[in-house]
Amino acid sequence: MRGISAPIGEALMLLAVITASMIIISALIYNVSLMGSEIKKSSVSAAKYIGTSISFVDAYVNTSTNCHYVYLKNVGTVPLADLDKSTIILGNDTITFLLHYAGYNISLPGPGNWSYVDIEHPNKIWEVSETVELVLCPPENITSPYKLVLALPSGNTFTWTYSG
Amino acid sequence: MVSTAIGLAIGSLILISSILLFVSLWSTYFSTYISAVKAYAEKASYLSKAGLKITTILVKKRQIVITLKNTGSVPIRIGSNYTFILVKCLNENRQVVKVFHFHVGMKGVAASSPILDPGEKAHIVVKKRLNIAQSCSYLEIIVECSEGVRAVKTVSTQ
Repeated sequence: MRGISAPIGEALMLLAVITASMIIISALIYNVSLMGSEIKKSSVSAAKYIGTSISFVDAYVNTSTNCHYVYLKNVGTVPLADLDKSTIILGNDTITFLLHYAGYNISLPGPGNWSYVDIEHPNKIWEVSETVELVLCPPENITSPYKLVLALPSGNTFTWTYSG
Repeated sequence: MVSTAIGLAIGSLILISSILLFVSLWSTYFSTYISAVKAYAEKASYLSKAGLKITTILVKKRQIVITLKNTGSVPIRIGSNYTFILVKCLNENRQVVKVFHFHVGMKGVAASSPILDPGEKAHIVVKKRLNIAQSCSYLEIIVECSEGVRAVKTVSTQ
């Protein structure tokens, strides 16, 4: 009996080892693929954050409509497709207003709202080197120097001061 | 004994492959990150070497001729569709009356050369009827090239 039980025991042990290793491998593959996708997302997000750069071209205020026209150029290395999800704060040293997005390419978005248009290729994608015109209409008349804060959905925040 | 040996072999294989996978995943992350940092550094280096000046502005009834000079040490692309031109019409008190914007490549706007080499001069011609003579005492012209190199000049229209 002992002569037979030893190979059976060995076979059972072998089966147990293979089963355990299969469980470990499948768990490992699942976690590695999960980690891989998270790392990929994170690296793309980090690259986008680093590659985002905006240059302030100029701005002026239309005194009759109380709207500010701000020209910005994408001087980074990535196109920005979600400018409409940005946060825009306009003000000066004493007062600030959080403006609401009114829509794409609206010439007069109304008090408290903002709009934009990408000038060279109007397609809602702020391509690399492209200039956008932001139309910012604060709910009240504010005095110069104006302070504009633009926070992109990627987390990049830019602040500019202009006199218009 | 056989199962122990197989178990050890499988265990070592799992350990080695997980280390390799871990290293390859993070190397993907760092290579993406490093290439982004490299592109950013290249751009910053380019902008630190670049210089652009508007030497003359010729204002005519139906056209504006802007002469640009590359004052830096790197070539500047001025013939790109993304070369932006902002023309601000200012009154006697230098207040903004009107603003016009153009870009190279649009109808009536062209650059005499696509690339401006260091020390070289070129023109951007804006053939547009702007009706600027009456209300504008001054014109402030801003030219911003595709990479963000800019030049500003104000001229009297009198």
